[in-house]
Amino acid sequence: MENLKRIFIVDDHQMVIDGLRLIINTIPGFEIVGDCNSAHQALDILTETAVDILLTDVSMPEMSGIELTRVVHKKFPHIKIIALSMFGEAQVVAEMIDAGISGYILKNTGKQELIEALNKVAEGQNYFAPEITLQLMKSFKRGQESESSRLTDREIEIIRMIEQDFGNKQIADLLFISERTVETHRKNILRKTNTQTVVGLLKYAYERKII
Amino acid sequence: MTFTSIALICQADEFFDIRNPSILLLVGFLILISAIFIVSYQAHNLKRLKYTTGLQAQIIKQQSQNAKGIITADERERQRIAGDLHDGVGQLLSATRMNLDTLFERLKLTDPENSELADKAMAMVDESCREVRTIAHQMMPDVLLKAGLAFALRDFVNKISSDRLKVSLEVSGLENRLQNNVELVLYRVIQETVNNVLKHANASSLDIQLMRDEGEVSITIEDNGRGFSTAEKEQFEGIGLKNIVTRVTYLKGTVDISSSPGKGTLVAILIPIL
Ligand SMILES: Nc1ncnc2c1ncn2[C@@H]1O[C@H](COP(=O)(O)OP(=O)(O)O)[C@@H](O)[C@H]1O
Ligand SMILES: [Mg+2]
Repeated sequence: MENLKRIFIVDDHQMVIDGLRLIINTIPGFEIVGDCNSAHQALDILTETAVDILLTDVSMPEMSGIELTRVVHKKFPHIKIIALSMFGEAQVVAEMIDAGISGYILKNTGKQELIEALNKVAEGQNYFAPEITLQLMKSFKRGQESESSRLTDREIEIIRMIEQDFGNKQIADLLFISERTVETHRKNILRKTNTQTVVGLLKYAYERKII
Repeated sequence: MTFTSIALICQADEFFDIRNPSILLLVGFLILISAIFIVSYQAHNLKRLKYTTGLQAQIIKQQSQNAKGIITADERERQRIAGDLHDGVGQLLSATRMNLDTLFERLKLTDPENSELADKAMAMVDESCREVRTIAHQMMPDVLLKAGLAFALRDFVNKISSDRLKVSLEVSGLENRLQNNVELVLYRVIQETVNNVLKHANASSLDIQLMRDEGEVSITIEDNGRGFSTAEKEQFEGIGLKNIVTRVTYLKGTVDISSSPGKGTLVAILIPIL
């Protein structure tokens, strides 16, 4: 029995800790050696208590789970950290990964998932809840897609007007928008086509058969 | 199960035996029911917010606006509700889910009907968690406060983009964060404009561009949907468009709305910044 993995839980909501205790107590191979309701407290306790896995909430008042993870990862590099949160936005997950987590699960978790997460992380692997992985993949995919900028219908219409040598005022009147908005369109068009002048822009447009 | 049948069971001593599934099931359902109550209470709270928004429109109509006051009060209220949802209902539901999980395991349900019921209850709690998450997020996205406008928009776009509606988001010059209130206001304005596209446009593509350069931020939101006649004045009566104008005016910016039936809609916003 001496190889029990020691778990410590931090969450500002005691009822979540109680719920986790109920479940984890029935999972073989793990024992909960303590819990507390704030990140500051956790840092104090961790200096005195030997812990293998830290389960931490992400949003907590005063010191967040992100900051706690950074500090623990640096001061106690042997402790594996699993984030436990209501939310799983890609950006927050990414920040937690940067901070040093080995896993991320959502709070409406159950025994099966906890078993998998704890075992994987105890073995030195990572575990991310399926919903989290999906979010991450989506943001990754979109990030790649947006690499090639497409011109909008209006922008193409404006390029046609530029081709006919219309000035901003004329374009504004034709499209019922202000001249400043035409100016915004122009800037967006030049940025997307990576051109600097009207000549360059028209060349770009002809080459790609945009107009 | 009716009250009489509960009363009848209660008369039997073995009902109080902890191994009796009935009492544990009952406890489970009590937890579930209280969770449902809390969720509907929050729904009520949300209705109140909608009402507040309605009131707001009235105030704007009467031209007696102190836009800044209204907007900050509104944002504060949203933040409070998002906080309540996250810290109240959200955590309760999560804990409920964990307790049910343990409870059903202890019960060792053998009757397939019972375990089906148990699974259903868990799935319902899961669904409630997801709902709460979505609502809290719409109220006040965590990522907006923590990571800023560009990330929050990326996140928002990821959520609404689908096979039917291709959404592209281009952000340039926003490596540094804008002032907090500017970010909040711009997020709301873009959220409202995009919601209009989802609600009214029936578009297949939506292009959002956000550019910061020398002293201004420009935003264009363009769809290729059905469009509407901006000339017909009553079309502009909606609260949404009015709110957009109020919020942008608060930042001393301008809004250009250009649309005609069949030709899609463009909302262009310019905000001066230091
Ligand atoms: N992107 C759009 N495409 C088509 N119609 C739109 C679009 N945006 C706004 N509208 C029209 O303008 C009206 C007013 O919008 P709004 O003020 O946001 O009110 P609401 O969305 O509550 O109807 C809408 O009812 C709709 O007819
Ligand atoms: Mg609207």
